[in-house]
Formats: sequence, structure tokens, C-alpha cells
Amino acid sequence: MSNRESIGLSDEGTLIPLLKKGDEEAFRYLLNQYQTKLFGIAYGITSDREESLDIVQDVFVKVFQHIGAFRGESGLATWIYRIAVNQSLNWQRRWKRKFGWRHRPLGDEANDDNQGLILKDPSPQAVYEQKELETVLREGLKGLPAEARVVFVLNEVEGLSYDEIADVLKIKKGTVSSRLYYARKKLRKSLEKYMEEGNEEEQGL
Amino acid sequence: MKRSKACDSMLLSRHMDGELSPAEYDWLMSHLAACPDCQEELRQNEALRTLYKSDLAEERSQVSFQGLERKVLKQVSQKRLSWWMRHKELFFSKKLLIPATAMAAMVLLFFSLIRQPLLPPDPSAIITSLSGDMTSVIVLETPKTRQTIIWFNEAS
Repeated sequence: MSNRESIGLSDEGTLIPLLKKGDEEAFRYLLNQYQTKLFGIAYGITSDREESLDIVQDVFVKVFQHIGAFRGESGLATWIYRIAVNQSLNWQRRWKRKFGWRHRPLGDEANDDNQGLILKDPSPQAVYEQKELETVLREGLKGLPAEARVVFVLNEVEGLSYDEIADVLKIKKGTVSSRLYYARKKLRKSLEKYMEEGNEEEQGL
Repeated sequence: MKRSKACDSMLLSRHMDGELSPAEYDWLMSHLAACPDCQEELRQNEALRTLYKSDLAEERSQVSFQGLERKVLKQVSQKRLSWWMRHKELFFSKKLLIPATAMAAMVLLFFSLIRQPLLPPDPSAIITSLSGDMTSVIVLETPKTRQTIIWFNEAS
């Protein structure tokens, strides 16, 4: 890694004061550390690549503008994730107001009934079916209530613990657990047909 | 598919995330060994995770994060610039400039008065004086001037 990391940028105690001073190297370090993670969160919530990139940009600009007001009551990562979740949800609300939600990419035929599921075979057919399945999953995610979707994304994208998710969203740990359970149940339901077919094929039926 | 009353989907979900207590974990392991329904649910949860991660990995692979980094740094540098512009305008606005100039002038005046006493440092000296019946004259000399004072005596 860089010299900067060796002088302790990975330590929040060193990084935060530098960010507050407007140190460009520190900000660049922050960008490298968080951009893929934030993209994952934004994409999980919006299911839109271009919008997610815009959201990530906005999050970093907000971090730059407001780092002076960051008091360290929660960790830096928690604070940044909170901004990312809020930005993504705001985007979704705007989208809902404007278009009544539920846009689907052209050529998306996820709900047709003549598709199957194979995961292990790398043939073109299997690759196509894998994409199909991913599309169904994305649709399933979109169909989740925002609260459950955000919890699922934070858990699956970043592997945040229940305590960390509770901290980011300012909710109780028990709520995290029940929302995650609900999200998984709903997503399993949306993929039920594919999963059962996959299971049958594994068993040679 | 009808499930046993002992089956606990919430517990399975928490198990996926490593959030079980040791006692819950032990119970679940013994239950799982004997329950095909829970084994299947766990398998589906794991498949869901794998699928989600693979979808996300593919999306990420199509994003140019270097390009994103450049855009963010450009935006941030513009914000820096606009901060300076805002303050520059403030510093050079008439609202601030006129009172600041007046204040500076007053401060300068104040200090110049303190540094330079009003009275001349050297005492005056009487060169000579004359007294008559009707008039008197005094000639005074300072380092820079010479003054003559004449006055008339009024009859008492």
C-alpha cells in the first residue's frame, strides 16, 4: 500500500482530522476505501447502475462538505453508510413521485413462464439462464418494502452485523433480524420456481 | 410442504449471519441434522446470497471506478473553488470594505496620537521682556518659532 497508509490513514483517529483539514490525499484514500462499497449499497437499493454512480458521487461530495460537523458519535463508516442509504432512498422517492416506480429495462422478460435455472454449467444457455435468475432477483428486491431491502443490502453487500445495521439505520437489533428474515422469505418466494427446478435437476429429476 | 413446529425460519436466517448464541447454534445443528425442510430452506438462503453477490460482482465489474474517482475529485475541487469565491466576494464587498477601511483609519489615528504627544518636548524660553508705562513686550523663543507678545497697560 501507499506511504499514507503506513503513516496511519487506515486509522480513523488519523484520517478524520486530515479530512477535516481538507487534505486531498486523505480524501483520495477515503474514495478508494468506500467507492465500491457505496456503489453496492446504492445499486442494491436502486437497481440502477447510472443512478447508483450519481448517488456515490453525491455521497462523497456530502462527506467532503459535512465532515467538519462529524463529531464521531458513530464510526466514520457508519456515518458514510447512513448518508448513502438516505441518498439512495431519496432517489427512490423522487423516482416514485415522477414515474410511479417500477421501471423495467427493455427486453426484460423475467416473468415469462418458459425459463429454467442452471447455475453450474457454463454453456451459453446456462449463462443466459443465470442472467435471467439475477433479473428475477432484482425484481424481487424492488418488490420489497424499502425498510427490508435496505437491511438486506447492508447485510449482504457489506456483511454488516445486526448491531452495525441497527446503528446505521437507528433501529433496534430485533427489528434488523425480523426485516432480514422477511426479506429472505419474500425473495425465496419470488425465486421459488427456479430454486425448485434447480433442486430437481441436482437430484436428476 | 408442512413443516414441523420446531422449525424456526428466523433462527435459520440469523444462523446465516452468524448471530446465534452458542445454545441456539447447538440446538439448530441437531435440528438441522434431522430436518430436510430446514436443510432445504438453508440451502435456498445460501443460493440467494450467492446469486445476489454474483449479480453485484458483475455490475461492479462493468463500472469504471477510476472514472468515478476522477469525477468525484473534480466535483470536490469545484466545491473548494466555490468556497474561496464565496469568501473572496465577501472580503471584497463594499459592505465589508468601507467599515473595515474606516476602522483601520481610526486605529491608525489612535495609535499615532498615542505615539506623538501634543505638547512640544522642549520648554519655551523667554528671550527678553520690556515693561513701560503704557505697554509691555515679551519675546518668546521655541526651537522652531519666535513669538513676540505685546500688551497695553490700562490706566487704573
